[in-house]
Amino acid sequence: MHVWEVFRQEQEGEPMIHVGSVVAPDRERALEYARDIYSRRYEAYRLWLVPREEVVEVTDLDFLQPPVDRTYRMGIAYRVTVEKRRQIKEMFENLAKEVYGES
Amino acid sequence: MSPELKEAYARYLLTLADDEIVIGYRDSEWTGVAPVIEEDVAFSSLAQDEIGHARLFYTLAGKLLGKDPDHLALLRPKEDYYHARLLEDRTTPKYDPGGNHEGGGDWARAIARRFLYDLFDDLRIEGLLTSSDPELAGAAEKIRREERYHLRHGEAWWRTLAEGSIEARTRLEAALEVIWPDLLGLFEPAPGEDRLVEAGLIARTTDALREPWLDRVYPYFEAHALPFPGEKIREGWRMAVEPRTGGRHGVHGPGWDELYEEMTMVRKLEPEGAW
Amino acid sequence: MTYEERVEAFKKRIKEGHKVEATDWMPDEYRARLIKFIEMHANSELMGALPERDWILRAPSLHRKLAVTAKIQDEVGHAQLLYRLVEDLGKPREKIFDDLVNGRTKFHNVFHYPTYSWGDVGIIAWLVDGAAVISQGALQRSSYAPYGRTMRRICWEEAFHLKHGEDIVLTAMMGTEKQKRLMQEALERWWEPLMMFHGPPTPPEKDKDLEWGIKTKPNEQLRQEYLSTYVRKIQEIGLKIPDPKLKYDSDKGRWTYTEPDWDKLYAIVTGNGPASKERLSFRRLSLEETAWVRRAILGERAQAA
Repeated sequence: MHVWEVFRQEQEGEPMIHVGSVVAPDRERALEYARDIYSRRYEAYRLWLVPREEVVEVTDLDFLQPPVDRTYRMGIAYRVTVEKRRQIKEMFENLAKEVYGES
Repeated sequence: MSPELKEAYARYLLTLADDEIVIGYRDSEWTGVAPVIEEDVAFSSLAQDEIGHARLFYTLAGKLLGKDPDHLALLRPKEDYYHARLLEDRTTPKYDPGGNHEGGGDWARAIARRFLYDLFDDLRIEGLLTSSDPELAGAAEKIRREERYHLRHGEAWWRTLAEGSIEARTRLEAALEVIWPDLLGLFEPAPGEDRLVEAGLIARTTDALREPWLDRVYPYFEAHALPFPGEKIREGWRMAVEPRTGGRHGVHGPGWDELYEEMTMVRKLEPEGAW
Repeated sequence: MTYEERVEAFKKRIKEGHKVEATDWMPDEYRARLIKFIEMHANSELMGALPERDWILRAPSLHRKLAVTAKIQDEVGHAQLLYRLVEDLGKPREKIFDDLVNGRTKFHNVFHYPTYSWGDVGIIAWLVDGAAVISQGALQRSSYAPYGRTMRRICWEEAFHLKHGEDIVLTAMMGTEKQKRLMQEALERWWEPLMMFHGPPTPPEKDKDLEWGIKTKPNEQLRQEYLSTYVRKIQEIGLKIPDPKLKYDSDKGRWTYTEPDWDKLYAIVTGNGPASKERLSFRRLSLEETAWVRRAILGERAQAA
């Protein structure tokens, strides 16, 4: 008997989501069992079956979430834009005051 | 539709429905006790499919007879059911608290019966696709789409039983020996089928399915060197087994007595009530 | 880090709401408790197929026949999902079944009782599955993530069972006196097992499964939620609950009821219920009678290899 991991796409265009596994003697029956275990009520638009031994798992957090700063790739690094915009606006207002005087 | 044609058609639809409901009921008995849990779930789906098909046929028959499908399924007299005798025996092991387990079946019998019946049913349904009754043709088309998977299931298990172990093969051979007379009994026609062919309601009478069925099943025996009780001569298949018939005329065995009793017991408490 | 330090760090993470996956490191005690807890749940799904299975052939209409078969198929499907979790935690299926039929592991109390009528089918699907949904709902937040995810799927399917069961009961309650009596008698048979369903009111601080976050709500809280959800629904369709002491105490904000005999519950789940022996010997027989098929599958694979 072999273990197959089962991934299900619930609607067209949606991601394949892991839903569990089946044990079966061969590929044909694995497909059948996956249908009957994971889509008895029309839950699946598509199924993927992957032999368990072919699944490569990565859980190393140092690798997946490296400790050294990578915020330059994220929105958080650019929060300063709000402040910069305010400063520029102020700069221009001050310039206008110099040219045209207070009015 | 003439009264004779209508009668023959209703009878044929009931025969189709009874075949499907009886095998569906018997196979649903494996729910909870199949050899592997995954298979348990799969086999139960097959049984439910058959009951669903029976419901389609009872609905069509009900329109002709002015009867409710449940009424046709559960409230006819015992001798007015026309399924083939092959389908009525239990295939699950019998459980007796006293320890007498004789008289039950096994998985080999369940698989052999289902697969060889499915191959018969596939040919029969094929002959309904061109029916002059569009409702029957439509039902046949839907049913055929589900039956494809049943055949795939049957082929996989046939191989496992024939090749998996000596023990499995011995059981398969023993099961086949028991069911051969009933397998040939599948080709007993319902009364009035000739009329239905004339009217274009069905393409072929049931007995005309015998040769194509034997042609189709033989390779599955040959591929695994399983004994086959017959040979093909110039005139067609000559079988060494006598068919056991009677089912199409309401003649059944103790398997049906037992099943009929069970399937009608609750409904008969209040036959006309809502359940 | 020593083993004890690792365990402490693990416990701390669970308390903070972190989830554990199958391939993560886990303390031996946590693994052992998970196996025991999920295995009993899985056994219950599998053994739960048996009392209802007798009614597959007897359902009184085509619709009910299909729905009952599908419902029991679901229960076996749930057993599959849960046994897969137990297998992934390290206990092989053959060992699981061997322990089950030899009484070394348990299954839920409600599946140790016989069924007598179509009334039982309705009451089980509505009220027993209803009790299961209350506890399984709480298990969706289990610290063991694969279990929590499986519970989400199971609860989704159980919702159909409740509807199916409730419909059977309602249809009968709109029917003849004979039909109504089937339901009332079944309720009387099932009330005591239902009150035992969520287990004795173990103080939360003594419940190890709570401490490890395997389950998330104490037994008595589940029972109170159950009563709040179902008592009215049962009474307003004309069924009488066979417990004269059952009432809502609005001062205390809780239900009071006749205390079930917890020794009796213990006796039942350890294999001394009214149908325990028969159920186990039936399960044993069905495993024995199909053992050759499993051997054939392994044989075929060996040949192919």
